[in-house]
Amino acid sequence: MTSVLSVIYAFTIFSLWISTLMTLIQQYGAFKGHFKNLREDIDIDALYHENLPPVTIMVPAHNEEKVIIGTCLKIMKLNYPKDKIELIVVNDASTDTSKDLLAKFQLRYPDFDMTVINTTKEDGGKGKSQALEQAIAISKYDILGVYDADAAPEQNALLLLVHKLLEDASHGAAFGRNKCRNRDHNLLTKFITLETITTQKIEHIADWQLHQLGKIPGTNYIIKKSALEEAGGFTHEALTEDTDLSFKLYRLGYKIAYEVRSEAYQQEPETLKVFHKQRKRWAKGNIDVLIRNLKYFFKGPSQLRQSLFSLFVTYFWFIIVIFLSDVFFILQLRIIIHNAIFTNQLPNLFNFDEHQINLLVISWAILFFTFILYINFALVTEIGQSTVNNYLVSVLSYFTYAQLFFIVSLIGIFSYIFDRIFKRESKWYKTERFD
Amino acid sequence: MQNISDIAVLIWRVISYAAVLFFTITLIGFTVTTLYYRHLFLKKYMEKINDKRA
Repeated sequence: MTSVLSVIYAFTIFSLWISTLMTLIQQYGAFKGHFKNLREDIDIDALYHENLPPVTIMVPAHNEEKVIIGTCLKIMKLNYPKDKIELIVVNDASTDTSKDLLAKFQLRYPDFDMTVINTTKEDGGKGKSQALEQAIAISKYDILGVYDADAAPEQNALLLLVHKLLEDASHGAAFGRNKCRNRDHNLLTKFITLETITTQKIEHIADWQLHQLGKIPGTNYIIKKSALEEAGGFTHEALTEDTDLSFKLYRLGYKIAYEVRSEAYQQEPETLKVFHKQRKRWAKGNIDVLIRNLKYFFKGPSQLRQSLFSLFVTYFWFIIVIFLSDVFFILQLRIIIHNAIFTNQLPNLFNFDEHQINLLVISWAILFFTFILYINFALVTEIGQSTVNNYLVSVLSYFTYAQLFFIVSLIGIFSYIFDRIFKRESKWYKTERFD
Repeated sequence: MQNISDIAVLIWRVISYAAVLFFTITLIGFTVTTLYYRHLFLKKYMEKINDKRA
């Protein structure tokens, strides 16, 4: 028993170190990217020229009356030649007033090249991939852009993306970052904001800087139509169609370029119920992509292998370690409480010597400090975000939000396993919008 | 047998001290780099604002 526990102990410590090391490598990559961006200013006027390629922007929308007009306005006002933008809104089986609102918008701006595809429950409502395919079928141009119905792009978002896409022939797609527009709504949206800033300002930058690696998000991205067709389009049954498409592009040898300065706003979940549904779908979708691509783990292109490794580490290795450490923590806590109340004393789970305890505590403290520094470096790259309040939220998020993420991911894994065992069909869940 | 076990414990301790030392030094370095970046970032931001005012 002692030897088994020793192995688990060594495995836990080793995993803590590996996760700390991976975090530090990411942070190093982010330092490189941000210092480079600080040195090189982008001249927007120089990017805006007559030879810019035309772009078809597609917006899939299902019951989006609260946000759709605002998004259309933002797209119309993009800093991009007006005659080189085509907007296609797929009003997908909506039962709200979206159809009327969009018709009024078209009447009000007749010069704007905009098409609205209205579908009903019979010929639509099957999910985002199918809605986008309807738009692609009638699209005029060779570069396709995707914005979610709640995604309000900043003025230069598209211009920067196009510039990034054309920078190198190997770029099959380019994506920007999405800022949280309801960040101050409650503690949950504050946590999500910190998470998204950290993901986009550290992980994505580091992935691109160190490995020329990027992953298409659901919104604020453009893709070459030829690359999309070569990849066989979207996979209908994929729960995370963006991750799935990214992997297909990697297999073809395309790079997905990241332009951190291309920004759009999006709404984040404001309630735990919506957050749970969204993240469960992400976890299930990502695991599904991982399993479907496992055969490329040792022989695929480097981008593909790195992404697979990253998904594997997130959804299997570290989840198992966190699960084990949480189980041991609860079991030991039960023993401590029992021994404090009752006279019959239970033996401790582990009989650690002083060195082992010190090493565990120090390793945990290092990981904790790395986590805090990681988030706070992301915050110093944003104007107005590096505040004492956000620092405290980042400390709090370790004990609350990070654990919540773990629980939801675990639920996603089990749900995926049950879906496979009982051959249940995974349902695509559209994230709810808020006023 | 006892000797092998002692050697294993010794190796483990050396590795663990080295790892802790490495992480501590790296974290101190990264903290300083973060503060330095913050300084440069704010300086550049203020310069831009002053340029606009001018």
